[in-house]
Amino acid sequence: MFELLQYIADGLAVGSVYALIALGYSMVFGVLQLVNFAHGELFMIGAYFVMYAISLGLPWPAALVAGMCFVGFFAVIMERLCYKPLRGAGKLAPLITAVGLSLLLQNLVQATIGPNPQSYPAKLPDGILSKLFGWMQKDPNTFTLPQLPEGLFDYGDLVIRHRDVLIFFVAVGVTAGLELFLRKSRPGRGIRALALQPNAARLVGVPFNFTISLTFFIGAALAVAAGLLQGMADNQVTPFMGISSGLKAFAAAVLGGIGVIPGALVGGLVLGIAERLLVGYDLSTFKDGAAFFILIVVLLLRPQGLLGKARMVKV
Amino acid sequence: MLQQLLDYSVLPLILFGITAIQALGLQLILGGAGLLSLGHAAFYAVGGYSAAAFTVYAAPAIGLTQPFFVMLAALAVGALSAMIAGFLVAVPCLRLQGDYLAMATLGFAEILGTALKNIDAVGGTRGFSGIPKLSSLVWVFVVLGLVWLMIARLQKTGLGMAIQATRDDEIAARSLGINTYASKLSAFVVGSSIAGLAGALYVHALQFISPDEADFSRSVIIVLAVVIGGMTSLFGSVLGALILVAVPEILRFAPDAIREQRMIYFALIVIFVMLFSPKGLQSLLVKVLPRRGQSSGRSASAGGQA
Repeated sequence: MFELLQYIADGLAVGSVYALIALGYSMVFGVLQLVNFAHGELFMIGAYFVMYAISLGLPWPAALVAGMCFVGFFAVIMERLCYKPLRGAGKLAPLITAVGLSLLLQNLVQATIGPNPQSYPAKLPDGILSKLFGWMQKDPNTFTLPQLPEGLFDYGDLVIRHRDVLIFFVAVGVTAGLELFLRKSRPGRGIRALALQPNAARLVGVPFNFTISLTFFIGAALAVAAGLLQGMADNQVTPFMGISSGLKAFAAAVLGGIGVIPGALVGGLVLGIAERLLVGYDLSTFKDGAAFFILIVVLLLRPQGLLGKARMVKV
Repeated sequence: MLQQLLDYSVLPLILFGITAIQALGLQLILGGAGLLSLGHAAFYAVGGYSAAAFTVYAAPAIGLTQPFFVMLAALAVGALSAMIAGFLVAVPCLRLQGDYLAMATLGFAEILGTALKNIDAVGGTRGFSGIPKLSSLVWVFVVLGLVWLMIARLQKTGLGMAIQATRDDEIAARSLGINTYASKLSAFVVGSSIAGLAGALYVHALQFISPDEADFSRSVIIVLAVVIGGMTSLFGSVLGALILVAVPEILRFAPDAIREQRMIYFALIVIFVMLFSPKGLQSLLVKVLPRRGQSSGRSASAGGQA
């Protein structure tokens, strides 16, 4: 019994990271009906950026904000260059472009930084990055690296790590904040209007391109936060972390109901807990298939996802 | 030198033929019926694994030893098993729309990969090896030709037209009395069984298959082949398969600096093709080449007026 509770508690932390990534998929899909396959790579680039920024001696909040801005603007430029010209060219063309971008970013990072996992404190790789930023590199002993809290809530059989609690509340807080932003603020309401009815939204004066850029920016910024949490929790960052976590986060977004903000959180947590349960009960070789098994079962019973609303097709 | 070149080009040619068969199968699903399947490689893996299991375990048991007939039976087993798998996936999943269907097929591929890693009789994570070499370049291209002819023929039948009508406008098709569910289902099932054929050819040419063949990246390569070439034509799918197999092979001979980063150039090519020719390369060719189709079309309409 305590075992079960223990696995659920562990799963909440894993699922929270999925949820943070899933929010980006969900928002972009809500507005453009596009599955941004390159979103997982934004998470990976964010994890690298923040890790290097911290290793260069930036305090972690500054590194996080810098990373959010960098990756956010990167996502906006990516959308302007690669997705915007394809609006109106059907659904498949942007989807294929997204897959191409995902491949490109993965391999670019692998080419500049190398395929091996990096861990805190990371040294800049030889080549262009150290030429440009080498002067900033400090001795790792002169500053302290941020750590996730190491303490434990110990209830005898049930042990919960402080850092898991922190990660969980970050995810819940971010989701609630995002929902509040979308409901109350003017740009947030613009995003919702665009998702509901693009043409009507333009008629009443919602700035189309700005709102789409904003959606990409927010999604990317949340992915960077997920990248920091994941990187610090595993103390490992690889060029391939985007593809595996990205696919599962996408599954989480669909599971919860794509386009619905709290749905991404619910979907992420369900998948995280399911994975941890399988690992706990010695079925870890089935871990990677489990997310999709749950997804298919839920889709067959509720095609619109756990929290989604069914949409009728109109002629 | 020439001999070496020929020997070297056999494997890429086989891979091209197999990719082209996969792409033709997906063309029927994606271009023909308008269903995005992101798990096409799963059916290919189903066909490959069951054909391999047939040759290694079942064929000796029933006393079938003649290589030609074993290969023929293995092709049938591969196509049939992939067809059954396609049917089992399609019956529930075709109720889902657009991206949800894509997600469900992707999910099926991931589940299959996970399951294959856990079945020891077919090698688990190490992969299935020790399969006799029965297929060859000739086999691959004969099957490719037959598949091409079959799909071209299918497009002209009532079923083929029903599939196309379902793709173009599902609601309008249904109002004309077309059973849209049945036409989607048949496109999906036939497309899957073609993938199974490709799998059977692959395992008997390379004598090895691993669970990675059901991987998401493999499915993506097939989708790219169909879309880069131009998804509404059979020729486009084969052209796309040629590009996908040839470009990495050619870049292999390029200077070191380019060769090591060939995946980057590959991804860039994909993005640029999509940005400048979203309908695929085949539409560029149609623009550039003198139009044979147009003159015959004109004479047909002239005949209609007379």
